Amino acid sequence: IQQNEEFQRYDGWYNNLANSEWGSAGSRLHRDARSYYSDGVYSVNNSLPSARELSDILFKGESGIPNTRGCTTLLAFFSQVVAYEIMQSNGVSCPLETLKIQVPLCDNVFDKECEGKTEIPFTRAKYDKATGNGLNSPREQINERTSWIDGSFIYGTTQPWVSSLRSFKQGRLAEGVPGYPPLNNPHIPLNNPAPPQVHRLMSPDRLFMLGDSRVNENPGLLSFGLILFRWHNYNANQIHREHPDWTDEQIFQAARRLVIASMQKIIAYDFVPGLLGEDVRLSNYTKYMPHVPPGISHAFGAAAFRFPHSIVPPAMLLRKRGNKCEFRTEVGGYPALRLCQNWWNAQDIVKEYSVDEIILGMASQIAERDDNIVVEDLRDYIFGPMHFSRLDVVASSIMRGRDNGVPPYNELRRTFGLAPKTWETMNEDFYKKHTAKVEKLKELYGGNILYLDAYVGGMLEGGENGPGELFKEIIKDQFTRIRDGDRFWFENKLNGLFTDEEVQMIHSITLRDIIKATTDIDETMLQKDVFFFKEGDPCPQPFQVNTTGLEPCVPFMQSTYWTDNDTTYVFTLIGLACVPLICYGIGRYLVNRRIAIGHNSACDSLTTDFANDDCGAKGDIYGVNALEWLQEEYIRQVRIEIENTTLAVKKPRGGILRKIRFETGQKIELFHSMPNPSAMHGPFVLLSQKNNHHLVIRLSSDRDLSKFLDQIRQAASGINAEVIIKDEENSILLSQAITKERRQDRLDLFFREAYAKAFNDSELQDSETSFDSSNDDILNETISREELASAMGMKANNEFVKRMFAMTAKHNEDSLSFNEFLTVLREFVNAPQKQKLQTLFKMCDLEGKNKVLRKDLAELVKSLNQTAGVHITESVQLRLFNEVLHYAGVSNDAKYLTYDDFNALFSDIPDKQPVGLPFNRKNYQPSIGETSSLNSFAVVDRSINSSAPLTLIHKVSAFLETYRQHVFIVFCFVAINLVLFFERFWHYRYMAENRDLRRVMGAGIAITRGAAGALSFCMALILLTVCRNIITLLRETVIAQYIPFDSAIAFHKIVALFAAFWATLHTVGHCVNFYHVGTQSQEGLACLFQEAFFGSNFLPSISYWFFSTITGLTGIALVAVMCIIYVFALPCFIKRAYHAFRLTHLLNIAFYALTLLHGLPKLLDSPKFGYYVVGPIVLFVIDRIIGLMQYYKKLEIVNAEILPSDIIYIEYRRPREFKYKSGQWVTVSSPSISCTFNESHAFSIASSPQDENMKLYIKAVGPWTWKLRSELIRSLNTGSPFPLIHMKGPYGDGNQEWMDYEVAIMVGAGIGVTPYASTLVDLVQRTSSDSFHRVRCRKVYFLWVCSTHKNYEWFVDVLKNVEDQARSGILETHIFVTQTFHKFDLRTTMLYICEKHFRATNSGISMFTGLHAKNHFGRPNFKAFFQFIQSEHKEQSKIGVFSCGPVNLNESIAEGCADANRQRDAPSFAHRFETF
Amino acid sequence: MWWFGGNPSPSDYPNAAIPNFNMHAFVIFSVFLIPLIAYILILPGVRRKRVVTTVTYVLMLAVGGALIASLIYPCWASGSQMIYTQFRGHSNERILAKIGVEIGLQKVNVTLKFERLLSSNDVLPGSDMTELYYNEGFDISGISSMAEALHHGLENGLPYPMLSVLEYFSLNQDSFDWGRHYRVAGHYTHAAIWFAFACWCLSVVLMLFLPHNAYKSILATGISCLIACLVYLLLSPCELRIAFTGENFERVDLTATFSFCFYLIFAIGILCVLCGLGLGICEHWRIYTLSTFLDASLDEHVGPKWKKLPTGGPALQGVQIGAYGTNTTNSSRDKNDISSDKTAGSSGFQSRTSTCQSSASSASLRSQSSIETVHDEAELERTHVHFLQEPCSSSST
Repeated sequence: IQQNEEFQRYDGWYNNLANSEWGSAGSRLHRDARSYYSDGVYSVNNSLPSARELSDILFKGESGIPNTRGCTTLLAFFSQVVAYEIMQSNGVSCPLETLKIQVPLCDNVFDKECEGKTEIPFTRAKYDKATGNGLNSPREQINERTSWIDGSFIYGTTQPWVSSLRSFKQGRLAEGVPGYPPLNNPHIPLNNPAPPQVHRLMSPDRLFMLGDSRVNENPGLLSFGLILFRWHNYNANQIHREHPDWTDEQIFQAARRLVIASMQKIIAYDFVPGLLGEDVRLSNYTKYMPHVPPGISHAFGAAAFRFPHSIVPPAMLLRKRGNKCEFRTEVGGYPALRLCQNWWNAQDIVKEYSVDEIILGMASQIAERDDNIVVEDLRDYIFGPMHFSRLDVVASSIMRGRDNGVPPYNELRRTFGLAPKTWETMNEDFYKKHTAKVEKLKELYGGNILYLDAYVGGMLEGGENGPGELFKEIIKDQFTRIRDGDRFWFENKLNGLFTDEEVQMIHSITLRDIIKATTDIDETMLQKDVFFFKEGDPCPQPFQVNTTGLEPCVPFMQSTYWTDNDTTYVFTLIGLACVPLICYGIGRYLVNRRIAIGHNSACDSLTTDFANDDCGAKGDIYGVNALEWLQEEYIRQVRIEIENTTLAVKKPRGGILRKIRFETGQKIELFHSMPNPSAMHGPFVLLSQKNNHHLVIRLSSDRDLSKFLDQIRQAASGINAEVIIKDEENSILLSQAITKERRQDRLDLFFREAYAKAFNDSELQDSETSFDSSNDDILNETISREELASAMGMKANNEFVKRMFAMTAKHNEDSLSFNEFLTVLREFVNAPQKQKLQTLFKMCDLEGKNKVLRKDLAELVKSLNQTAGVHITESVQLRLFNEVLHYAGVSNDAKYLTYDDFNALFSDIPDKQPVGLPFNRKNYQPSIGETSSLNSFAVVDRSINSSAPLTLIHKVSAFLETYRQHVFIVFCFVAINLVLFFERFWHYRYMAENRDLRRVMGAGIAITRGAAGALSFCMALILLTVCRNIITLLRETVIAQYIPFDSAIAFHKIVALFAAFWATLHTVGHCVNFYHVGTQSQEGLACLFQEAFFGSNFLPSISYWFFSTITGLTGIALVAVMCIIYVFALPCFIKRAYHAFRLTHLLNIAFYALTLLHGLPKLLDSPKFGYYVVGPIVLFVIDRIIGLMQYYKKLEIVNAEILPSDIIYIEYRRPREFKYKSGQWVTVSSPSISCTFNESHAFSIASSPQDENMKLYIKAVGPWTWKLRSELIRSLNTGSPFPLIHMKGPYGDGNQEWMDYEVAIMVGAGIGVTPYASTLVDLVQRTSSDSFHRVRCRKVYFLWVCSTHKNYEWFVDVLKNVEDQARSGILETHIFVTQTFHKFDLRTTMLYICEKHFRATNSGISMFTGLHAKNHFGRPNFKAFFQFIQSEHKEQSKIGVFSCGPVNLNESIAEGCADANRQRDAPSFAHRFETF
Repeated sequence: MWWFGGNPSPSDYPNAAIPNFNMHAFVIFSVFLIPLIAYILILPGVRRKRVVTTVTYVLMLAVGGALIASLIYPCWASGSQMIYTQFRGHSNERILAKIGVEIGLQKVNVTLKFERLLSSNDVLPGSDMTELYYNEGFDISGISSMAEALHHGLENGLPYPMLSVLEYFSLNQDSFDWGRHYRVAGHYTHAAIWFAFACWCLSVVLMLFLPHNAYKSILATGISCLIACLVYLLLSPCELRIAFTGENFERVDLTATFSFCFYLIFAIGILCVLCGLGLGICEHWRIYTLSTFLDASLDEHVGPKWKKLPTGGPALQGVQIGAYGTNTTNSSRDKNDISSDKTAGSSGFQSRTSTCQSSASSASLRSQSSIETVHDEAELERTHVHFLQEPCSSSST
């Protein structure tokens, strides 16, 4: 033997010079006969009879028929060694292709219950993916071993495998226990199916590490594995002894060469003749024939070499070592070792009884006969997968033949040059004996022998003397090819491996020699030819083994892989479903807590613990610090002092806010919180005062409460007043508290109801309030003079109010009941003019002398004017008054006015129609001559008289016109969603067959992946909708013409809803999918999740998928995160728990991060989410950077004012690079007003772009604004510096586009006029300067809707300014004073008269505002107005309508627009609005 | 046609020996080198904060370059070994060769370099193996890409030792999972490095536009680098031992240990975290703020200022704006603003307005401003002074 010969690769490559892949592991099986697939390419012919039925008919039979040739069991098991040495072609291919073998009804193994439902699973074998695609390249299965006889059974086929077996010392293979290889602790990939007798997966640690992955299957096979393993080490030792200088590698390769050579000799020259019978021998070796392909042929692998199954016995005899011929009689309680009970448990047997006993037993035991009968251990009880623990080897063989496309019996015979046979001549002996069986077979194949499976036919041929001629031919051919084509064949002189002597020596090696060398078996106890037992051989078997008296086989079990997953699965699903509920619960709790606490604790961190300036100054006065609760958004620190009978509410630093005086005999009603509310929040006390709003204070502790109550009682006892004290739940108490606002609502209701009754006009009723319930309340309600005054927009000490009140209040001089009010009102409304005048006269006639002092009347009118916010001096007023009188024919020097004068004064008022009633009422057509201020609106109603369908079409087209961009974009969005869904759906339904997904999850996977695609898109798009800064930039580009940026947030919500839908679909879908995944076998999972990785004894459960994979964990986390985000974004929570909303929306970062992680493990597919979102994320980040760059910090307030109606005015320095357009808005925050997650507040900019400073008008509505207000008040009062302002912005708004329209209508209501303060100044400045070219406007209508302009004097100033500068009449302003209409119409009358005269004499300047702007009393009728505009500007195609105000205003404008847009031949209106 | 030579035969140049130059690397690193050279070019022109800017600039480029390098270069783990081996079929030559394996995030490089022929009894005459040098890259990103690589390697006839290495990477079963380990580790590390790179891009943008906030993203870059290292550390296999026969005919193992890229990313991570933390702490305590980069100052309103300012708060802010306005708009109104600003008296502004009148005070101011200070307010003042001096000097000439 030589030191350095050519290394024969383990994987069989580079053996043949011309075809280096010949015989290599992983190459295709050799096709020696035409393939027979039903479609010519790859399909299995399903029309053939059931393999199990064939197996039952032909291969069933009694065991224990001894082999006629005297074959030993050793031959049977050695043939398995040979098979494993040269082939392995039953690996599964991905995707799994499972065929079902029909089990005949009442099969005694698989269908004992006669249900007829059982199907034996059969998995198609691994094949070369390059084949099976075309008719000329049908599917070719793969041989995963080398087809050379190269010891791959001992060494394996890969370098790592060999390395893991080697000891790297003296060329030996590693040993665990001496003589045995180590156990598989390193977990090399040995086959490790569940042993069917225990039916559970077992640790791979128990197996022996040998070269073939299947070696641990049964004791016989394993014994050979061990013998050959020892044979290598034996040789290595020999060589080491002979050549001590050789290195490990050299010894190993030399020993391997010897082992291979001895195996080649035994297989080719001992085994093959033994198996095939005496007469068949391989031809003598002549030379290496490089042109002979060595590949294992389909016919050999799938049919012929399965013949030895027939000689396998049902059990193994074990024979003891030593000289005596002694068999074990007790093997686990039975005389022989049953095969079916020891699958994959061979190592235990080998360890217990040693290799020697097994080998000895096999050498003595006579195998089964070479007939068609296969013992039940193989035919019924071979191992199977977990879900079908026993299989049928015969049925599998038949199926394997069909799977491999092996041609039918006669075709195969023809290929091998044999004459075709008929049913009868196939095996004439057999036919004679079992005619019925053959007839049955014939019947199954439809009488046509052309369909007969080669395996069936071939097996039937066999009989007394080995396999039949077909199988003999195939096997002989195969081994000849393997021998002749092998360059490393031991007889090949050219390879130079062995010398002639060595070849001779190898020729003399037999299996007996190997056994002798590797075991302790006594030479004399083993016959010469171990493959046969002949007469006179030592130690014959005691009996022919048959199944009787042996251990019965554990019957087959069907099990589901789902077992034990139920609990995890169900509870996980329940948990997932609970997440939104829990979130909702938390949200409700937050809201309830806020209601219970009474305010937003996240924002108002006020305490009662504040310094009190004049505390202790007067020791006798009880005083306590408290928080006064004014409304949910507004609490303030106050000091309550009780002195005698007066309760005073003071500011912390002095100044009385409110006084409540207890009167004698009064009932003092007091409510307080239940004792022991939370420690954080002290008890509330509600003190009711008649005809006034309640006083609600929060004391710091229960102790304070009791003291306070004591004080009240004390105060009450002094004046004999009764004190009623009740306790109440916080939330109920607060909801009952009649705050200023609630009182106001009530009063509004009072008046509305009164008007409704007086005018019999239900339109005036607030339809939203149900009157039935509160009607009685209203009837019992009384109002004070102050309230009446404020309702009329006057002060309580106003002369008019005093007289009015005195006249109406008849029962009680302090209060006015509903009925009293109604009476007076009726009088004013329904009574004829005369009576009305009389009333009025009476009111003025203080002394009852039927004449009115001129002075008195003047005072009265003056007082009226005063309250209406008249902008003229007293002297002018007086002059005006005199003029009015003069006009009415009253002489200037008359001191008294008579009734007649009065009559004359009011004579030009239309008799029936109360002036000031809404001119939007249908039956009222304003007469043009009389109401000059209305005439611009006075157009004849061109009522659209068209049929109903046409109206519908008009409506639809008007809607489409108004919302064409919205509709376009939303449609595109929905369509893209569907397309993406459908694309992915299609892909996974039909295009991803190679992934095995569809087989496992059906349409579920397609739906979930489709949803995932659409969801990715939504999640990408949703980021774009919140890029405020980029949108602001885009507004100024052409894109703004196509995309309605105003609706970004609305679109945001739409996208979010879609995302929620897809996410739900995805989640639910995957919950179903994972059920399917949970039912998969190991092979199925290995195909399905190639990225995932499991040990051979690990079957992933549902909890593995859910909780141990990144995808599962992130999936669950995503569900939770998404639920939290969505639930807290519900409108009810945004409103009441804004901080929670902001906080949870921050989770979006986690949301995106988790989603990226979700796809990262590539469990199902490579992640695509990144491609969707990368662009939007970049844009979003850019947007954030722009935002940060536009974050102006610490801006100094230069001027601040507190204006009426809770309006705050601030003016601060404009940062140098801050540029904006009129109509845009900014968000403002202040470091000194901290409000967690609620620090930024959006306000329209009121200063024009040309201004030096920034101006904002802020209405105090929320906690932040209230706080800002009180901060400013403090600063103004104390002179301390104003808080600093941080500003972000500017942000775009629909209102900024006004200059793109030739005719623009701007409507501002309430505080919503602020943007127009900016816009109008901008307009005027632009039009008066040379930048007019940038403004398209030719005409701008500005409609100002306000309850009374008295509260908006600042805006009047702005308007005045604008009017002064405005040239060319570009601007037309209309002011709608809404308060005057519905409060009291008499006053309106008076005002109207005065205004009319004033205008006439003062060049059209209003006496209220000092403006030219026309005053209207009442609400604007937008329908009429738009019609008027349409008729006025017929030449225009588009008119811009901009509005800013409360919802109902914007709604009515939108309605008006839509209505006007129905007129197809008139200009259309584009409505841009901002809602407060 | 005499000037072309009498007989123009078909041109036939000899084979060009490929120079040992990595064009790929050159192109990629030029992305980082060109800005660096450009910066060095303008460095003399950088007037203020030379050191800080240079350090930041170089740091940023280095981090970016390192991240890209670690993504592309297969040097996260590597090993090499002198082996004694057969390397082809149909021959029994044995050579001494150096085998090397370099593992990257998505590919593996296997090299084999011939050292010397050791034994042979059938070398064909005239065959010369001395030039034998293999350097092959294989993709490991796909589940079966290494198996395909092995198959192609077998078909292309790579030397046996390289095939052995490939075999180790291509197996994907039970404990034969070295390739899978490296693939999975590479996959997640790759993702983490990309994230770090995204953070780096963000820090570049922030550096340019919002230097105040850059430290956050630098910190994020650093942390994600460290996470990448941690992921690689945890997921890559502990023992890739490929058995070969060594020089002394004993068994040697080719083992892979963490290599250049791993340590580079670790260092970059530490560096970025330190820088980010340092800057963050400095800005929090207002010791120093990185407020300009390449002399740009875009975010003056945005961040906190250096503490040494007389922190007058709002008043000062107002002045600043005015002062800046002077610098840019050059209008007399702004000047008035400054002089009339009531808060101006508190700081050096008043003296500055007087620089026009008295040269002495301007000299003092100049000396003041000549002190190397690095915070931008001082700079602001200085430029302002500079500006105000100009009309003064021009009038005097």
